[in-house]
Amino acid sequence: MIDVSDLTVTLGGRRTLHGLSLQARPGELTAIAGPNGSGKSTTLKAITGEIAYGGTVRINGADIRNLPGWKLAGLRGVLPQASTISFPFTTREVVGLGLTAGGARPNAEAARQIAQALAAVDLAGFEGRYYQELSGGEQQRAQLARVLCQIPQAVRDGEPCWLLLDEPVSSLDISHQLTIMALAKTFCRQGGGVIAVMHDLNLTAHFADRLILLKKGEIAAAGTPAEVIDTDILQHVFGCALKVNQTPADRSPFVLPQSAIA
Amino acid sequence: MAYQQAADGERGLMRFFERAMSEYRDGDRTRIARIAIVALLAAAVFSILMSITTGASDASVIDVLRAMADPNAADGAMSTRDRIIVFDIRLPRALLGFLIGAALAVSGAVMQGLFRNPLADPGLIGVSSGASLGAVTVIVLGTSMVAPVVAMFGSFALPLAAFAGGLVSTVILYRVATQGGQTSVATMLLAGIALGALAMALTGILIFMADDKQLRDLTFWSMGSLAGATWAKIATAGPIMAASLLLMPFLARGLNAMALGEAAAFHMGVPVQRLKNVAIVGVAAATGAAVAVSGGIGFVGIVVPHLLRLAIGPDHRALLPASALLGGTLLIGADMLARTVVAPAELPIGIITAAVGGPFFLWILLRNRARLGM
Repeated sequence: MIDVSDLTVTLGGRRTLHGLSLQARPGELTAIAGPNGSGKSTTLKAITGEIAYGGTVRINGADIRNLPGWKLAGLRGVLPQASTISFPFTTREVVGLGLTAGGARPNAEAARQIAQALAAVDLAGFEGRYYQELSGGEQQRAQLARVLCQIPQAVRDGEPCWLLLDEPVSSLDISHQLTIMALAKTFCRQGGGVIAVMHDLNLTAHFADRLILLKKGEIAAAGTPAEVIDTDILQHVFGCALKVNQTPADRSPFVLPQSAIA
Repeated sequence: MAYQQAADGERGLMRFFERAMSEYRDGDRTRIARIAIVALLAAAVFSILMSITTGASDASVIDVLRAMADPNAADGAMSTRDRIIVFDIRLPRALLGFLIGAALAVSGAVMQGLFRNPLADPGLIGVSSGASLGAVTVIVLGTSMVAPVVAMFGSFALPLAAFAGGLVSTVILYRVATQGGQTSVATMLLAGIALGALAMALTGILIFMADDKQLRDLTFWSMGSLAGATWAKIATAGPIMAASLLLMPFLARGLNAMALGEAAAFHMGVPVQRLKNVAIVGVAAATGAAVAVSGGIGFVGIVVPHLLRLAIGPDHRALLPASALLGGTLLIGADMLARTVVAPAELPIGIITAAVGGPFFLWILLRNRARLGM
């Protein structure tokens, strides 16, 4: 369980988060969505411990302020929004960095683990390619493979592990969006937990177990996607005349930009 | 039997290289890097032997090795004069040159890893200027204003002052160029220029105050030279350089993670702040000690790591030891050139490294112009 209570963040003298409280349960994909500047990435950064925050963040019951970095690195992997690398690393070397996280020493299995992680993100055989020569979407998937090398199992020593993903599908084509979301879902089904910052409400509706909508640094709505993706709530949060529809097959909600233009 | 063993050995070696090459194609350069380090080690030993046997007095490698094995042998292998030349002049010079080259190259590699930029170099961004200021302060004011300090630290005063100067400029530079975990290249280079100019101005004031003898010392020192290498100099600056060289490999894994950015390194469990502190102190110590004994030897820190990254990749676990070996070897080579080009006179070695390094630096800049967004 990731338990966040009364989270506040002040960036550049301006308070960007105003006392958020939220829970993410293992076995569930928790999505955070909201307009630009609503504090999605900031919330995720506070949960990872990357930026200074007020309030408390607990992972599996332990306050992350009291967890040493190497221990935290074994509990949760973090996929950043965009990553540039300044040196000519090969894809294999970048992904392999995940195996050294938390001071771990890669063993004879390294080559197999790297190949497996690359296959999971549909980059099998990309080991010898230079990272800098990959496309944006391929780089994003290679980074996810690195995170998978850091957190290879959903459950470790009986404790759930966590993937914290900042817009994991933002530069992916539709087929790879599905691949990566399915991968996250599988991780949850195996007992791990995922928190993902999402932009695409329809993907979120399909894959998320819980959805938290932020507006101006506060939680505007939280619940199952079916509860939260609602015409009134979306119009209020995004300030835009959106209209939610339901798919005929399983009555799951969807929203098209066309609904606002009409 | 012996023939069979030899054949097996040969086949084993072939398999080893084949495996290294196939891993290389799969993006795994660890084995190639190991081979390169062994080759560089051999080259380093060879360069030291070459360096102590070339010059006006010719002692053969065999003679030198024999004399090393049995220092009391009074036979005719080496005359007393040759013995003094080789062991009291050339050997300390070669060792000091190697240490300085290694210290500068490793400092460059660590600094580039820390700033996440292949253009960071202690000489280029004002660290060496800061170290120079510290050293010049001791040379010029050593008998007057800072005499108590010199009295307290003795012959360590010069390298320590250079270290302090290098440390102050590195810390300022890092503070100025890094904001929210992101280091701006443009800010780093420009702040380096500003800091360098400031240090040069202060150095200029000191030079203005210096007397004739100090001026001569300063001029030769600032162009960079190994001519004054003695065992005493090795004893003062050597331990500082050796200690930082031994410390740096422990930073390798952290620097690898830093290549992904400070945030990602933190997520992977790297104690980022401690890594930065240790790296900055280590670089300042190594650069400071090198500058204190040899003056301005530029570009080693930028050329060596860059060449090695092209050959064996940017993994610091291999890059740092390889940089030390190649940096040391190249500096010994440059020194041999400096000694022989205009013999019997000597060129300052800094002129040679700058003449080779300047164009090389431009080449890196042009190659990376688009990617560095400059």
